[in-house]
Amino acid sequence: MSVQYEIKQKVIEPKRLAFDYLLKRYGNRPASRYEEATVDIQQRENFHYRPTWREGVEIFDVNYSELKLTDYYSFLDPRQYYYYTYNATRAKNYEAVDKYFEFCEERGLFEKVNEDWLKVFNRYFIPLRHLEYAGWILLVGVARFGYGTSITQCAEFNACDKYGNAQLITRIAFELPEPDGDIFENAKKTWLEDKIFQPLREYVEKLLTIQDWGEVLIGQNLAIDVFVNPLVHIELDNLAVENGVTTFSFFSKYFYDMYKDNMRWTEKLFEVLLSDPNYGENNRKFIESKLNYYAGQISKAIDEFADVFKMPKKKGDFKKAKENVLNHAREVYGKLGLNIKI
Amino acid sequence: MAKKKLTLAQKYHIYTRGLDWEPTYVSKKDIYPYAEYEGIKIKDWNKWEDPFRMTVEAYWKYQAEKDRRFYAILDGFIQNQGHLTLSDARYLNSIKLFIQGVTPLEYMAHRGFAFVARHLPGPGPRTAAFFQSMDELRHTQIEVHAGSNFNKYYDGFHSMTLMHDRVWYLSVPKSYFDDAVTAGPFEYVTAISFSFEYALTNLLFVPFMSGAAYNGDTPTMTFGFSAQSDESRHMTLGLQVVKFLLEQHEDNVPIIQRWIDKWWWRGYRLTSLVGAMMDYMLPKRVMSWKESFELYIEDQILEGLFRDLERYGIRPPLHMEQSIKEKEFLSHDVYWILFSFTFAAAFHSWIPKEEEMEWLAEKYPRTFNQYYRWRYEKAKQAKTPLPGDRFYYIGLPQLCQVCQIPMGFTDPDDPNNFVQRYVEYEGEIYHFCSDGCKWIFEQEPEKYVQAWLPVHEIYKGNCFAEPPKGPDDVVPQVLKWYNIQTDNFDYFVSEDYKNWKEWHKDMATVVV
Repeated sequence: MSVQYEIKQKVIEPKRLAFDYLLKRYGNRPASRYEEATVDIQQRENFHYRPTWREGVEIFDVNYSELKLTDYYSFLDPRQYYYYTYNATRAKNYEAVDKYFEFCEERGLFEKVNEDWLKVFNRYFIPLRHLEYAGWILLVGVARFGYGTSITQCAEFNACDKYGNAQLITRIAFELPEPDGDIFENAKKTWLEDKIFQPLREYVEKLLTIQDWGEVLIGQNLAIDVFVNPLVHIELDNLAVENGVTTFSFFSKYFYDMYKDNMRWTEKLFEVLLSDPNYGENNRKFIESKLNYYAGQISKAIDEFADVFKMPKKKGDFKKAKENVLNHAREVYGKLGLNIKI
Repeated sequence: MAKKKLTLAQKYHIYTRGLDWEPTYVSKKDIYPYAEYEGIKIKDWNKWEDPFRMTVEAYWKYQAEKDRRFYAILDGFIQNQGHLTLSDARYLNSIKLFIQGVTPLEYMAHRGFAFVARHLPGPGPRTAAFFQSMDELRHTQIEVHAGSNFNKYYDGFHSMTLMHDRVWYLSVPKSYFDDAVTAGPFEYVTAISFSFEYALTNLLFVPFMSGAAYNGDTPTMTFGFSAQSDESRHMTLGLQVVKFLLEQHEDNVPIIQRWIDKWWWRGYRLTSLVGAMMDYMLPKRVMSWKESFELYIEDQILEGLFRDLERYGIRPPLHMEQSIKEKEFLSHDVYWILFSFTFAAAFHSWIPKEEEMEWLAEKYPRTFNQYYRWRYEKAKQAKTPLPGDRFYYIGLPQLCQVCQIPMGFTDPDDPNNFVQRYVEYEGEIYHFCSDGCKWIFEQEPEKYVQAWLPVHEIYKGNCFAEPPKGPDDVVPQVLKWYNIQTDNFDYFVSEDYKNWKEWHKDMATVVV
């Protein structure tokens, strides 16, 4: 005997379309998962105790930075990342990386890299794992001290990307031959002693002592990232290709894409900071004064990389590369309407 | 030259702490300025043993997959009107408590672990703290997304963050986590990673998640299972942190002991809300608070964990004995408090049904019939001008200065009396619900005098939407400021109950 069940489903009108605070902000419409996960999530008021580690501040406090917004949720991530979409996107991005490692292994590409060129690569590329790691520390600090979940969540994910970058460079290094002994010890020594890295290391160590999260973002996302990524992943990669080494272009593209992805939230945030109806002008003064300093410092710091352009086969033109990097930075700052002299 | 063979641990070191370096252009103290003031001494961060070996790429993959499954189940539940198949709408009152009380703590934990990831000078534990910071954000967002669907049909879900910052009973969880994040990085990890995650998580999570399973709440149950693998990482981090600190320097031992003493009692008082939920608020019960306390605390923590820590010179927490004595009283006291003040709460309460009272009497043969049943018998007869033919305590309670729960804890040695303790400090009197809370105050009075006590703040006039027009307008103005709409009063006069009955009138028709 066959039995058929027909379930009559009731249509139930929802009592509310979204959380009350989202209805107040956005009107009577359902909210997206990004909005639900982000907007007004951070605690705001009636904190019970003051921090014992720093005087004169609350647990969450707009005064952790000189940069301020009238409404901190006037900034929203243009990528709409919340935890799930962020991790899902990165897991997918990384699938290509895994496949590429398989490919290189199958074809023995890492072993085939020219030994003279490898010395150059080990000098300028592998030590960057330390720079990326410093970026992680800096950004996780922004995730703690920034104001409002929309900002701090972006910083948290950016921090995770930085740590991921540091580990991807590490993973590449694990695959490389070691004609000169331990690749990681050598890279750390290069980072600590080689003249090409010293101004950069000095810059980042000083940035690590800065407490203002807005200044940290200026020094990291608007300065280090804007100069180092095009220098290493565009200019030096082009030169590597001209020297017959194409194995690493894939990674450079990956790192550059990661940079571009993080610039989307960074640029949006600074755009919102600069156009704030009440704080816009103060924000502009602070951003321009700090960025003139940081961009100037980082621009000088990368001049030491001229030495790397003396590649084994075809020598590169550092002056031209530097000009391209500067043009890239000018474009980023120009888009934000910032007056930066570099 | 052939590559060296490395163990997994060595490889993981290179992937994590190998990235660190000693700064030379600035002093390390300027990078990590909060590392010394707590008095913890670290001789060698390299002695840190990683509690788990997670790389960022592995993290992305595992977590994305776990979330993919969670959201698929949640979407199915939403699409099929899964809320209609819950055991009873009364069940959701414990989920309201969860989303108002616990979800914002998950968020605070996310930021707190970001603090540790930024400010502990050891790269090994910093890395583990970072992953936990990510996990806690996950837990916040998943819980908000699960709550979002209930919010569309039920009261009590609509304003969890605002309520967490304002409403009287939510100052209990809020003050707990505010206490932790205002402490230094070492106390924070001892408080949250060890005392909470290691010693108390089971007591919080297992009842909630099993409660969800018993009562048809698939999203909460799925989240619980899915969060377990995160939680096991958090627990191993907690144990590792404490052992590491104890091994590093003998001067650390008394400091850690003091923190364990403090955070045991702080956490235990916080979980008393879970006790009330387990014994009174789940339509289908899992186990009693007392049974759960005996299993998770007396057997696993006292007999297991603290035996293990003896060799480090650590003894079980002060006041543990008191919590054991209280186990037959605690949940009844706390539910009675919640019940009495439900006119000002964003959840509903109710008089236990007769069979529920039978269950309580069976589970608590020495206390329920003796000290608590009569309260509900009387509550049925008491008439107040408020909705729901039953008793409410119309007035504002005295709150404990530390845990902030109204002072209604029965003295197990003298069950007809409540415990009341006080301390005079700089010319003011401070009141406490217990010796444990009084002791915590005495260790750091300058911290606890800062407490934002909801009742005091009402008296100070800080909690009104508009100035009250007279004595009768005081509570309504407070409720408005809390954004409590139709979220309060007895369940049986609630919109939740009315709607639930309406929706179940003739839900499914079977055609043969």
